[in-house]
Amino acid sequence: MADTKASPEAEESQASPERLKVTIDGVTTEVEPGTLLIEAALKAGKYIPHFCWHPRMKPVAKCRMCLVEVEDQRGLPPACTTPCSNEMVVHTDTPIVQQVQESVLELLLANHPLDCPVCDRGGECPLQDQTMAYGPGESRFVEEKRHYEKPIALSELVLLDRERCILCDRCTRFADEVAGDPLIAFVERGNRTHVLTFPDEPFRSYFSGNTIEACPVGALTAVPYRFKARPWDLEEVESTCAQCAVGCRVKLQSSSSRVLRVLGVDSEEVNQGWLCDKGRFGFEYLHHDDRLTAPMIRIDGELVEASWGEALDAAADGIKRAAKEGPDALGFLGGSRSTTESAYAFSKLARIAGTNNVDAQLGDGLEAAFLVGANPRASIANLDSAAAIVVAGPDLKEELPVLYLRVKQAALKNGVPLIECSPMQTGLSRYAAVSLIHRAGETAQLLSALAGAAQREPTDRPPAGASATDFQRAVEIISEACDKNAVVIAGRTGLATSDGELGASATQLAEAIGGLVLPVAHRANTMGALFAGCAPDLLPGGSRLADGDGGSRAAIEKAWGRAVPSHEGRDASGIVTEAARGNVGALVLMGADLIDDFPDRSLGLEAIGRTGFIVAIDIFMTPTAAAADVVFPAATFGEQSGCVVNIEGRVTRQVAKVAPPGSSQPEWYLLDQLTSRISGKPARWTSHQDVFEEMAAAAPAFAEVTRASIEGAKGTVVRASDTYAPQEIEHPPIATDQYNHRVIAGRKLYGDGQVSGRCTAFRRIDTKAVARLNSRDMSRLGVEDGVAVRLRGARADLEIAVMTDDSVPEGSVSVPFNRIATSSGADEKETGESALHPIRVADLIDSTAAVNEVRIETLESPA
Amino acid sequence: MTEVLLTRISEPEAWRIDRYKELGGYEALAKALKSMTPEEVAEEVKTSEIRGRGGAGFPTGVKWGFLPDVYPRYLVINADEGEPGTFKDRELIEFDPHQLVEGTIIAAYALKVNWSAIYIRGEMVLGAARLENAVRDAYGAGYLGKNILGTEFDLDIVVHRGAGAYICGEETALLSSLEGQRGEPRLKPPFPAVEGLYAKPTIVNNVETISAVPHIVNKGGAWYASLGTEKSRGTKIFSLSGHVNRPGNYEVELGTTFRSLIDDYGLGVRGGNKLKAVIPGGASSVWFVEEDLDTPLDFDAIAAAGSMLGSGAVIVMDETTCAVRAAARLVKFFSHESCGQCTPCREGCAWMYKILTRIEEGAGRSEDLDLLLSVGSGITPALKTEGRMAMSEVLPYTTICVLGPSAVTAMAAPLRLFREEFEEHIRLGACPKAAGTGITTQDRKASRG
Ligand SMILES: Cc1cc2nc3c(=O)[nH]c(=O)nc-3n(C[C@H](O)[C@H](O)[C@H](O)COP(=O)(O)O)c2cc1C
Ligand code: SF4
Ligand code: FES
Repeated sequence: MADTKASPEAEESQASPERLKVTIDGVTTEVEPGTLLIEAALKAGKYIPHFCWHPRMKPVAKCRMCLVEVEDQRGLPPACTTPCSNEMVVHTDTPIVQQVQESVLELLLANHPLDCPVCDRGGECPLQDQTMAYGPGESRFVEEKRHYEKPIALSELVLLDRERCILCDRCTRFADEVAGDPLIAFVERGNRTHVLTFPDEPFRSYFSGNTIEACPVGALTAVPYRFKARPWDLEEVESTCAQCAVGCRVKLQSSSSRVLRVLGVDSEEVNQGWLCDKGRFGFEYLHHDDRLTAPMIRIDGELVEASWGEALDAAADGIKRAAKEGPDALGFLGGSRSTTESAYAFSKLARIAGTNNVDAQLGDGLEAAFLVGANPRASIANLDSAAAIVVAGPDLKEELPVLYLRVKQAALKNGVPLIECSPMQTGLSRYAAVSLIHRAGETAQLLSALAGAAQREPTDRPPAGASATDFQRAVEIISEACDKNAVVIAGRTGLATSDGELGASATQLAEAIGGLVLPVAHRANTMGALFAGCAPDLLPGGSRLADGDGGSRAAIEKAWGRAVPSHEGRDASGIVTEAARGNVGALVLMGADLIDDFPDRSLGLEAIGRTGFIVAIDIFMTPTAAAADVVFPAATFGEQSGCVVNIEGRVTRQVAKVAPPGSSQPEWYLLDQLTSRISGKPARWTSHQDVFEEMAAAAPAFAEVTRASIEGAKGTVVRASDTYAPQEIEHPPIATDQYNHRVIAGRKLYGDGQVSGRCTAFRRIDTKAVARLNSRDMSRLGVEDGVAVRLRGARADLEIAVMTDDSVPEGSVSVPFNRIATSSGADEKETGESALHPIRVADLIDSTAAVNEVRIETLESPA
Repeated sequence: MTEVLLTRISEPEAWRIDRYKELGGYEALAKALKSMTPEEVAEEVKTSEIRGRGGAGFPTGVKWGFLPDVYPRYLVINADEGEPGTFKDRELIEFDPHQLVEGTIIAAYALKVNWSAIYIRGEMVLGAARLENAVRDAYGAGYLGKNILGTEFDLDIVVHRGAGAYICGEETALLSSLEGQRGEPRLKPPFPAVEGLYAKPTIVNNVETISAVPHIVNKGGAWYASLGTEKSRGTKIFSLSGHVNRPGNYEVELGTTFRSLIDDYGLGVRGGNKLKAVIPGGASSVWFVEEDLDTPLDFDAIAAAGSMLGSGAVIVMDETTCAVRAAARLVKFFSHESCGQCTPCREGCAWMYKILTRIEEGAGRSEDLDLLLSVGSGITPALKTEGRMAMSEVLPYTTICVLGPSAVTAMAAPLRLFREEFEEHIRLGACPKAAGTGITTQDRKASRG
């Protein structure tokens, strides 16, 4: 009804009385109260030159470039700190303002070296650009310039040239205000002021790269990018980062078909411009010599290069052969590192081959139905104004760094009370109103108890060993936040615990307090893969396979021209467990490494060893690929286009910028070929868009997701056809053993995986694994920092150095899942196994157990 | 001489609490706490019309009235005295620390403050020791701590020593420094009275201002206001230094003339030399010359004459003084003391100093004088290039605080008064004053160290 909708002009004129009218150089605009002049000017299409102001940081008005004149106001107020008031009349181009701008530029350049030709920033430098636009045109400074040693390393990743620095306070403010890592600061004063780290404390922040991007000159440079390119030689596309499931928007820049730089894009919905250093610098693996470049097949026990036709035939034959043994003779694992299109192709291939045994998660996530169907689901931006945030999941700083920044910002800047439910303290503990530290593996119990207490169900004692006073405090906070959009963030707390009921109890808590849920997954496109149907119980679009209602099954069967298998499928743990028993004929692994990236390494090794036929689709010769019968080289991030889905369900596009190495192909392409060979029907797709269209047609949930709607940073949010409704929750009791230590196995940001391990940027960062223990446990054991101990686990023993860390509660031991614990232990010699595969934390873990415990032994021989 | 604050200075050991009490100390405290409400004490201070002695000359009673009804609130005493030529607070602290402590307690009572800090310049080693002793003894005597003199009033005083930065005398930089941050002036508004220490309402007052409070309480605001002139009430301590026969701190009734201060108190210019110039109110004030000496020591009269009373530092220069060297030395001070956050101050002061040094060392160029004024106008855009400078030319300024503009004054006031001398320096490639003295520019270079 056209008449009920006000025209935009009408909306303008009936602006609420709270809006302020500001006139800037004759242009009148309306702004919200609290808007700064510099922002209002941008809105009015008037650029006020500036250096220190950054839209995402507190203004400091230090550079003095943005001074303006305001009628009826004395002096020259800085536009970056002056709030607009109604009827304000501002002039940004009077002679006096121009004189100030010229002068500030002349003064900034007085001591600025003219090494623009060799400066990374040359050509994209705000100082250059503003000198061009507002500068005096000549320099009258004939004295000697300031000199410093150039450049100095602030960390393994960031260098500082203090001669170029204009002291705008952006990097230092970022480190303090945004990252919460105040490791760089101004020292000295006046003309000798400079930025520096503290003695023996490098700028080791997971977010350090943002300072380089925020720097308005070339003072901060990135070790990996330094002298690599001139900005005008770079071509760029906007894409979505593939390092974790936050899905930060990035600019991907390349020259001569090599990716050289990743920059952040300011997406209000997701990353507000920031990236973590892994996302920013973790792309060098793309061009590593170890990349697979041609398909390979196993002949006489050796993997040898083959043509694509030979490899596809061999893979199809092997799958078909196994399929004859029934659906459970097949297992399809992977997809969460791929585009959604490729994941869809994978899910489809599994079903066409006759099985529902397909899983994008590798036994390291949460219930698929919860991840896709959590309801009501929170967006990342909901955190900003939440009445409270409950974090029950991994250490967000390590696993989902930019989500950590958002939660921290909500707590610190917006005063949102934060309740942390974690088996040990995390990066967020500093900002939490309450940290409910509890026994690993019992987080779900704790959430259920909180839900109960919020509904006034008396609890005599909080479960899982949490402190009663902390619990009480948490209950007060959530009761206060009831029905005011509190957000419960829920994710797997670690890989040594199953966290089986976590999705259900998080949902229960959100319901109890009338809040929202934000489930979090780890790998970048876990959500996309689940939405594409890479889960035993889900169909594309996130509808429940068992229910088959809503016509989704019919739509899919129509699109595929095939019935969807109806047996109850197995998830990753089920598939691998069966494979380890020798019951699986063929495994198809897409970006899935059961040896180095699976929580239960012994089980993974066993499964690989006992499976007759393995197809690996990957980018490197992982230990798993090395044991496969057919290996396909895949294109990856930056080399293929497609869409990805982040933790919110936000669909955005990844865009190809460079060519994949050798004859590597996008996965959807080779999967289509395999599907064709198995179904006997012709291959269907010639581009990722064909895949997308088929998926959108087949899955009702994707009906709204058009190609146009996912262009740009905002993308579009997809909702599963079936929402998650947990069954009655039963928490199986978990026995605690006084003599053992509960294992907490989280991931660290920097690991030694296939990808990070091949980025030179991270090479100098120490990634050795250590076990962390509470100081009381350390003294009980009588060991000191750095000493090696033996962890005796259910599956294996692990020798590892220990370190005191009181963020780990007594009775627990924290070990990093994704780092190598170099072992010189006896087991290695006995079995000879470890010579092939260095001992990892995953060797300890029995993924079928609810929790894992280890006995800790000292190594001193009893003499 | 009308001595109010300096009465006890010449008494032996007046810094000891027993001596101070013998000389009438802590009577005002008893009077205020036992017979007056906080509001009445504040009212007396308002009646006295005393203006801040830290440099800006803002009426203290009015400032106190700005405090919103928010608690806790703080009182901070500015004892960072660092302006070249100013040495009155040091004497007050070294020789009569209890006067300051008593003033602080009374002011805190009037302001309903229970925590106060005295931020003392780090170099004042003796002063800090005497002040710390005085505070300790005041605690011992029951003048500080809980239930002072048996009343409901509690107060703690902390003596905090600065670390040698002049800028920490600027009240907001001082507060940042007290909080453990870098000593950088903050943007105003908000003013400290509204959002000061730890973002709470805070009154910052100078040592001399607060030292006057016990006297105002004892004898009444009206008595204090009866001294001085209509717009500048009371007495003020002037730190007289430079080329006079008897430099020192002199407390006089406001309204006394510069001539009287120099001749009657300082016993005239040394060696009977001719007077060249006077810096009337601290290094950041516009220079006066002989013809200005009949200006009364009065905030408004000095302002009307184009300068300012400032902190009361009067530096006298006789005819042997090299204006270029004096300007270079003053600008060096400001450049060295700039906190560095504002581009114009950080870069501009250093540049002006480099140019002045070059001229002084004989390498000046004819375009340098206009360049100096032009660089200065980057900090104070309304700066004129000709005629005697007026203080009003430093408005508006492009910096956060007035340290940067002070450096402009220190450069432009002498340059515009003595432009010919600057030009002669450039023409000769040497200091004309040094001609015949045997002093070479090399010696100058060496003496700068
Ligand atoms: C650069 C600079 C330095 C200052 N140094 C001092 C100082 O050393 N002592 C002082 O009392 N005030 C100093 N002031 C003035 C203070 O900012 C403030 O106005 C004063 O302490 C207020 O006290 P009053 O009202 O009692 O004068 C300085 C101001 C500036 C801009
Ligand atoms: S004017 Fe100078 S001293 Fe004052 S805030 Fe700016 S840089 Fe610091
Ligand atoms: S941008 Fe406003 S002062 Fe720097």
